[in-house]
Amino acid sequence: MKKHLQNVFLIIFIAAFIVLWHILSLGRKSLIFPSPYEVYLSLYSIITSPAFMPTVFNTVRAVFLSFAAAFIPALILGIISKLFPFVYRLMELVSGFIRSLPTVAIILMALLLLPLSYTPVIICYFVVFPVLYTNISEGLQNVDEKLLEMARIYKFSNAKIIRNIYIPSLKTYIIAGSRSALGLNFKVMVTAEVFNFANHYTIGAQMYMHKIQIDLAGIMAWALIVVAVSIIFDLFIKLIFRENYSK
Amino acid sequence: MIKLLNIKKSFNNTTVLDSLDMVFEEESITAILGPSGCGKTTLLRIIAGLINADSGEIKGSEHRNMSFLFQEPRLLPWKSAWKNLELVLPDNLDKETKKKLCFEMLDKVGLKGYENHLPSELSGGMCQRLSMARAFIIQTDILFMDEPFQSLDLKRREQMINLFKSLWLKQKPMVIMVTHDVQEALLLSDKIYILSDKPTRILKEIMNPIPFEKRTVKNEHFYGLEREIINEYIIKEN
Repeated sequence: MKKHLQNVFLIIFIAAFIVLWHILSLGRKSLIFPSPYEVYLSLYSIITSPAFMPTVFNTVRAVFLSFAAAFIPALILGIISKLFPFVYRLMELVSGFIRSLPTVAIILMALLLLPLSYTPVIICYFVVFPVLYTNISEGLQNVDEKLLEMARIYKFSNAKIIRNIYIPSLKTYIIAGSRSALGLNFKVMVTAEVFNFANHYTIGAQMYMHKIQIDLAGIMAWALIVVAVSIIFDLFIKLIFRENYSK
Repeated sequence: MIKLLNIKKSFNNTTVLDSLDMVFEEESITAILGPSGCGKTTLLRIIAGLINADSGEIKGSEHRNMSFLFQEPRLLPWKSAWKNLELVLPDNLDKETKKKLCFEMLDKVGLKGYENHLPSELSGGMCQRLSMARAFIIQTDILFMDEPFQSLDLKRREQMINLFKSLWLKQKPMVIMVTHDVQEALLLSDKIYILSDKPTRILKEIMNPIPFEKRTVKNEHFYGLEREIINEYIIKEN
C-alpha cells in the first residue's frame, strides 16, 4: 500500500512538472524555451531515426568499456592495498588527487595528448576509477575482523574465506560504487563525446549537432534519453546484485 | 595436555600477564576466573594462537582441532543457520552428509525448524545456541570459551549451561574457559585458576570437589564453595 502510494505521488509529481513546464513555455519561442510537446516531437523523431540505435549503442559500449577498464584495476589495487598498508596510503593520495582534478581539465588534456577515438573512454576511466577504487578499498578495510578471527580458529581455507567472508562483505560496497560510477560515467561520457569529433554517432556528438543547429528541444530530448538509459542500467545493476543471501 | 610456561604479555609498557604457568588436562574443563580487565581474554587468545605472548612457551596445542565460543556468536549474517554450521565441516564430506549432520546438530540445540533462517531472523539466545552447535559439530580437541553466557539472562544462561554439559559429555574435548562469574566456574569446571588484577598472576589453583554430574546450584557444597572463593581470594585480594 505504501509503495502504491509512493508511485501515485511520483506520477502526480511528474504530471505537475510537465504542466508547469508547459505553462512556462507558453508564448515563448521553442528556440528559447521549448514546450514539452516540442521536446516530445523531437524525441520521437530521434528515436525513430535509423541512426538512433547505433548512436546509443556506441555511447553505452564506451561507458561499459571504461567501467570495466576501471573496475578490474580498482579491484586488484583494492586487494593490494588491503595487504600492504603503504599501498593503501599511497593510493589514498593518488585517488584523492584524481578525484580533485576538474573533469574539464582531464577532458582537455586527453584531447590534446591522446588519439581522438579513445579519448572518451580514457577520460571516463580517470573519472570512474577513483570512485570504484575508494568503494572497493573501503569495503575491504571494513571486513569484520571478528569473522576473520572465527575463520582462523575453524581453519577455513583462503578460498573459503574469500568466498564466504570477503565477497559478501564487499558486495554492498561494490553495488554502491558501481551504481554511482555508472551514473557518473554516463554524464562524463556524453560531455567527452561533445568534444570528440572522431565519431558522429554518439550521444554527445548528436547533442553537439543539435547545439550547432540551436535546437534546444533536440538537446533536451537527448538529455531525457541519457537519463532513461542511466535508469535502465541502474536497475540492471540492482537486479544482478540483488540480495541473494544463502539459505 | 597443554602446558603454559612463564607466559608474559605487555601492552604499551603495562604488564598484563606476569609469568603465568598453567596446565590444562585432556577431557577436562578448566576455568580461568578473574576480575574484568585482568587480561583473561588476552590469555585465551594467546593459548588459541590468535596473538603471540611476549615471552614464555605453550606446549601441546600444535596441530589440534579447535573450536571457540566467543562472547558474541560471530555468525556469518548472509548464511542461514545450517550453512553457518556447514562451513566448519571438513571439505571432504559430501553435501548431503554435511546437510544431515547440520540438521541433526540443530535439532540437538533446539533449533529444529530454524535451519533456513538467517542469524538476523533468530533471537540472541538462538544465535548463541547456533554458535555452540558450530563449536560441537566438528570433532574438536580444544574448546575455548570467552564468557559465552555473559550476555544471557538467568533462565537462558541455565539452559545454555545444561546444553553445553550435554554436548560436552558426548565428545569430552579439553575446555578452557574464562569468566569473572564464580558460579559459572563452579557449575562447569573441574579446575579453577583464580587470577589477580593487573599485573595478572595466579592467586590460587582449586580443584572443584563437586563431581561433574552434581554441579548445580542445588548441591549442598555449592554456595559454601562460592562464598569461600569470593571471601578468600576475590575480596581479600582487591
